[in-house]
Amino acid sequence: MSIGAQFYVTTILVYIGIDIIACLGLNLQFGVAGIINFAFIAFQAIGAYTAAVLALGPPFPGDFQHYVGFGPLPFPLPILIAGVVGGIASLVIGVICLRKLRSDYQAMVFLVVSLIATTVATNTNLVGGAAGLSTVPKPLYSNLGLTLVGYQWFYAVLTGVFAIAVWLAIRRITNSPLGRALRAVRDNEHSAQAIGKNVQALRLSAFIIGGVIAAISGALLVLFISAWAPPGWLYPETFVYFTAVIVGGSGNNLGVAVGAMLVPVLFLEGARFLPTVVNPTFIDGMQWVAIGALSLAFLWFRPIGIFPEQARGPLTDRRGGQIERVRALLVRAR
Amino acid sequence: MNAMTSLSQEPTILVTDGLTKRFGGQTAVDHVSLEVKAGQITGVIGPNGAGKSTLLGLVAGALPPDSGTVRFRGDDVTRLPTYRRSRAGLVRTFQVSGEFAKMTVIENLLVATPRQVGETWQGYLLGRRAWQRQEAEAAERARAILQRFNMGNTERELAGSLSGGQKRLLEVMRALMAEPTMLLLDEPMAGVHPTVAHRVEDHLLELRDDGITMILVEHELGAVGRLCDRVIVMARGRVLADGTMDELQGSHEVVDAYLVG
Repeated sequence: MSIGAQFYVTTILVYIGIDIIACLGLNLQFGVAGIINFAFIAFQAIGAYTAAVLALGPPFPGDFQHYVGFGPLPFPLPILIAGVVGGIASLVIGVICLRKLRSDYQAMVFLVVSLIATTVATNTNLVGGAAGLSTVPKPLYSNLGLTLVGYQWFYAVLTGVFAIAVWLAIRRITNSPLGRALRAVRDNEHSAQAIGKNVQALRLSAFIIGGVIAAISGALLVLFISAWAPPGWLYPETFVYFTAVIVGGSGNNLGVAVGAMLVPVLFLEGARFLPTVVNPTFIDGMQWVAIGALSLAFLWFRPIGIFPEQARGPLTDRRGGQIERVRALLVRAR
Repeated sequence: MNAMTSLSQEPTILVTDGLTKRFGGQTAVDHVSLEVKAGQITGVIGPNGAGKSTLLGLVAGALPPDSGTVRFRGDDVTRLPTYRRSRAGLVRTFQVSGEFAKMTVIENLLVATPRQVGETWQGYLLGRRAWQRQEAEAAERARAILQRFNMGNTERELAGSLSGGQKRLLEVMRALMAEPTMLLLDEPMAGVHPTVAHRVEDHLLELRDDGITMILVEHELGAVGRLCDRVIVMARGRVLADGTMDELQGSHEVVDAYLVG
């Protein structure tokens, strides 16, 4: 493989890993717990900014970028601390947004949170303002002594390791009574309360864990691309992840991983290969239209996604209680 | 027939004192004070808008009262949220079926198992070994309940695909999984085929014989007569009468309120 091709492939692999991580986090919130978090991208951004600032260290006098800096901290601390900050932000925002509001109103509030986050990041010097942050050092780059393309492969593996860790952590939730309780809350919160479930605590837990995972995905992304700015995490980006979750199969981890490969990566990446017509921004614009259309098509014709949520019996039964898919396929979710 | 079994010496399990709920200018429940004896089925009847479901909501903790108190097994539960009342043994069902539609029937039951270690973060960290025995026991209980209600063959169906009658049964079964001391049943036979309704009746009588106390909000007076040891008649948010069905049938006031509203 030529060096150029290796660059391309590794970059795609890193993006796939990061998008799978993000989609698993969103799936826990939306697919499993039923939280319509339209601010998801903001939590990815919180992780990215945190990791960037911690990897960069404080700005030096006369620095071209302005931000509140700490560190620099060695790998993997920027990523881990980004996760913690994402969790704390989720706790604060979750306590405000998830209590006393019905889920459709929560969705509206989250959208507003996303807009506020972009406005604050753009119009203050907390994290580089409108220009954002750049020259974020790549973790372990100087220590490893790899070639540029060798480092690309290293980062692809690193992302894969994180993706597997997140997958296992999430599966441990979804394949346990905790996951079942979250799905009950999603399906009918009043009934869940009536059988003794602390709906607010359950929702908040799923929201926080999803927030931690979103932040980790953002941290991995910024350390790979070395730059982060508000135009990259505007609120429509959240809908790309939502579309991935819906297309793959909301509530099904495997489906969501497939959705993450199909939508943010192949769908958006594939558009690059289309011939330029009308003007160069036309394809970019059409990507958004296509994402919306794809999302609508699935909600309309196949709301259960490519891989529907697994029907389950008791978790102690064979295969963790998973029931053959055929039956689940026969019943279209209400 | 069950009027005969009314035993006034049974201990009181639930007491409401001056319970009031207003919605805007409308007083839905107006200073309702009542006592429910343990081990009985207490019916609540009344015309539409009488405040029956609101009363049930206040007792279950779904609605905060404007004034008054609710005591359950001697404890003041007025300020407890629904889930904590449920954990204390006060479990309700809903007028409109509230099944977990995208979960299987047996999952609907399993999720109601109280005190599940696997639902806690401690259980998460400790892993499967911490909760699998409890899960196996819960599965056994759930299957026994499904058999009892002749629903064993629906175990693997998605709850959303059940018929209306089956959903009503599921609601009662799920409430039973939560190990209730007292059930608050909001029209469990509404919109159900008469044969299924009779099955529900039989199950409720069995549950009473098992020692579960029930408050039953119901429109169908025949069922109320067959099931309830005692009946409370409500109209315009107030308790109009309280007694056995036989006693109430002789009351012109009750007949007028029920028929005229």
